[in-house]
Amino acid sequence: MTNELLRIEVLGKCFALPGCAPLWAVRNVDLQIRAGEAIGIVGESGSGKSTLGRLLLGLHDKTEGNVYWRGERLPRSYRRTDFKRWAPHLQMVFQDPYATLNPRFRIGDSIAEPLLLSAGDRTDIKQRVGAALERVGLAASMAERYPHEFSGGQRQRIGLARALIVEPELLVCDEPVSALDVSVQAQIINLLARLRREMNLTLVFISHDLAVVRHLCDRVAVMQGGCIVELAESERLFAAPQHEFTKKLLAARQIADPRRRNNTVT
Amino acid sequence: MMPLLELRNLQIAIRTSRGVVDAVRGVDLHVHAGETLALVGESGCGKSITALSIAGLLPNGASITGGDVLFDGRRLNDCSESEWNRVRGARIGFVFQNPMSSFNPALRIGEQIAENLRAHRAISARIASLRAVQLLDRMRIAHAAARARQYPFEFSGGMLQRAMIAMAVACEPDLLIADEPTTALDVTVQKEVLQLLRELQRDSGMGCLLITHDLGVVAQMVDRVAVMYAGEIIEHGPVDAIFYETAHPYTAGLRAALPAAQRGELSAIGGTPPDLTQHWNGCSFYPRCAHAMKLCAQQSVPEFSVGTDHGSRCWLLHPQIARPISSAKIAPHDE
Repeated sequence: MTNELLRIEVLGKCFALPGCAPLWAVRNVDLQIRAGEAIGIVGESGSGKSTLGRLLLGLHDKTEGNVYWRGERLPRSYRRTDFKRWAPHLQMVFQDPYATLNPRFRIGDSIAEPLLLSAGDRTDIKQRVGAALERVGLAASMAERYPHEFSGGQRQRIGLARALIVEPELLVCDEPVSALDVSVQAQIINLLARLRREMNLTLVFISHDLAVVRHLCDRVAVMQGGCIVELAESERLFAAPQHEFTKKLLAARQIADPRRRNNTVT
Repeated sequence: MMPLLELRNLQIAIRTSRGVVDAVRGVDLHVHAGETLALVGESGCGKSITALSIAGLLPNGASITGGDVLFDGRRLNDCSESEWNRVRGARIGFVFQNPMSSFNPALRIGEQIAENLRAHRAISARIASLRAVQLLDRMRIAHAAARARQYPFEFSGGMLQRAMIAMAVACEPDLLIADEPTTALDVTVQKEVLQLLRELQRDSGMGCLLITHDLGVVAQMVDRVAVMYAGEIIEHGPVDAIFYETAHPYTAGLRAALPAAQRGELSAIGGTPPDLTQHWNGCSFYPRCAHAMKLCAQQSVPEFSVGTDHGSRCWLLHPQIARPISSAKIAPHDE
C-alpha cells in the first residue's frame, strides 16, 4: 500500500488468567494504516479494541504477530529505551483523563512529561507547554493549576495537549468523548478534527459510539471477540454492512429522530 | 385525569463545603399511568436528584426546601421512613444506572428479588423465590432457576441490569423510575433492555420516568420529554414537538451538537452551566445563548405555551417579541 504508516500483521495478545483458560483479547489482526487517515475501531465491551490500541503503543507485550512503523518492526516487548525511541511518533489519549493525570502535579508538569521522557529536544519547555495548551483551546497560564480545578471537557483537552506536545504522527484515542456531555463532546470532536488537519495527524479512534466514528473517520474496523470482522470505508460500512455482527450493531443504534423509531413493540 | 406523579414547584437544596447548592429550582412535571416521560439534561442539571426525591432517597445534606411531590394524589414530602418503606419498592420501583453497586454482592440474585417481594407481600419464602425465578425468566435471562442461585459477580452487566429491572418491577409498581438504565451497556444489550421496559409497560400500564442524557434513547422510547437545565425545566412537550418544533435554544443546541453523518464543524454550545450556589436574575441559559437579548439578563422567564402540552421558558416566545429560534439549527437531524 502506498503511503503506509503502520502495518499490523497477525497480531495477537493472550492474557494468562490464574485459574481460567487463557484469554485471547486480540487474535489474528491484520491492518494497514495510511498516513493522514482517521480509522475508527468499533465493537462492544470486551471485543479487544482497547487492547489493540495499547498494543500499538507498546503498553502491552505482543503475544504473536508484528507491528511495523514505516517498514521498521516495533519491539515485541518495550524497554525503557524503546519508549524513548517511539513515544515521539505514537501517542495516546484515554477515556478518563482525570485517572491519567497525577493529582499532585500541576497540569503544566504533566504536559511536559512526554518531553522529559523522550529523547528529543528539551529546551524551552515552558514555552512549549504554553503553546500546547493554546493549541487545544486553553490559556497558557492554566499550566499552574491542578487537575481537580478543571471540568471533564477541559481535562480531555489537557490529555490532548500532553499527547500532542511531542508532535506525534499517530494518535490513538481510546473512547475520548464517551464520558462527556453532548455539548462538550461536540467541542472535543471539533477540536480533534481541527488538530488532525493542522498537525497532519493519523488518528486511530476507538469508540463504541457509531455516530461519532461515522462523523470523524475515513475507514472503520469492526471488532468482535478479538478479531476484525469487517473493515470498510465509513460511508460503505454504514450504507451496506456486510458482516452479521456489523448489521446487528447498526440495527441496535438508538437514532435521535422520533420519526425513525425501530422498536418492534407497539 | 389525575396524573400518577406530579411535582409542583419542587425545590431541592444541597449543603456542601462550597455553600448551599440550589440543585432543583422550581420544577413542575407530571407522569400519567401508562406513559413514559424522559427527564433530559446534562451532568449536574439536577435530573438525578429530582428522581431520588420522588423515591425518598435524597442523600445526606440534600433536602426538599419547597413544593410538593404528589403520588397518586398523596403528598410524599413528609412521609416518615416507615411510610416510605410501604411506597418504595412496592408502588414506586427504581432502576439505577450501575447495577453492580446496587446489588448486595454477598447475596444470591434470587434472594435479593425475593427479599423485596416478602417485604411488601404476605407470601412464603418458597413462593417468593419461585416468583423471583419467574421474573428473571420474564426478563429473558436463560436458565433462570440456576441464575437465581448465582451471585451478582457471576452476571454480565446487561444481565445484571435486567435482574435489577426484575427486582424493581417485582411488586408490580405503578411508577418505575429509571435513572440512566442503559448508559453503561453495549448498544445491542441496550436495545434489549429498552424493549423489555416497553413490553412491561404495555402489559402493566405502569408510568415510567426515564432519566437520561441520550437523545437517541429519548427519540426511540418516550412519549413526552422535559428538558432540564440548571435546576429548571426549560422546555417540555410531546416527543415529536421537542424534536421538530423545538422551542428553546438550549434544546436546539443539544440536538445540533449530536455528531452528524457529514463532516464539518458540529455546533457546540459554548461556555458552561451556571454555578448553582449563586443566585441570578433572568434566564439561566442567557450567558451561553446565541439569541440572548437585554431582557434575558434581567427578567426571569415565565413559561410560554407553544402548542398542546408544549411549553418553553424563553423570552423569544413572548407575543411581542415572537422571534423564531434559529430554524437552521434545528433542522431534522440526519443520520
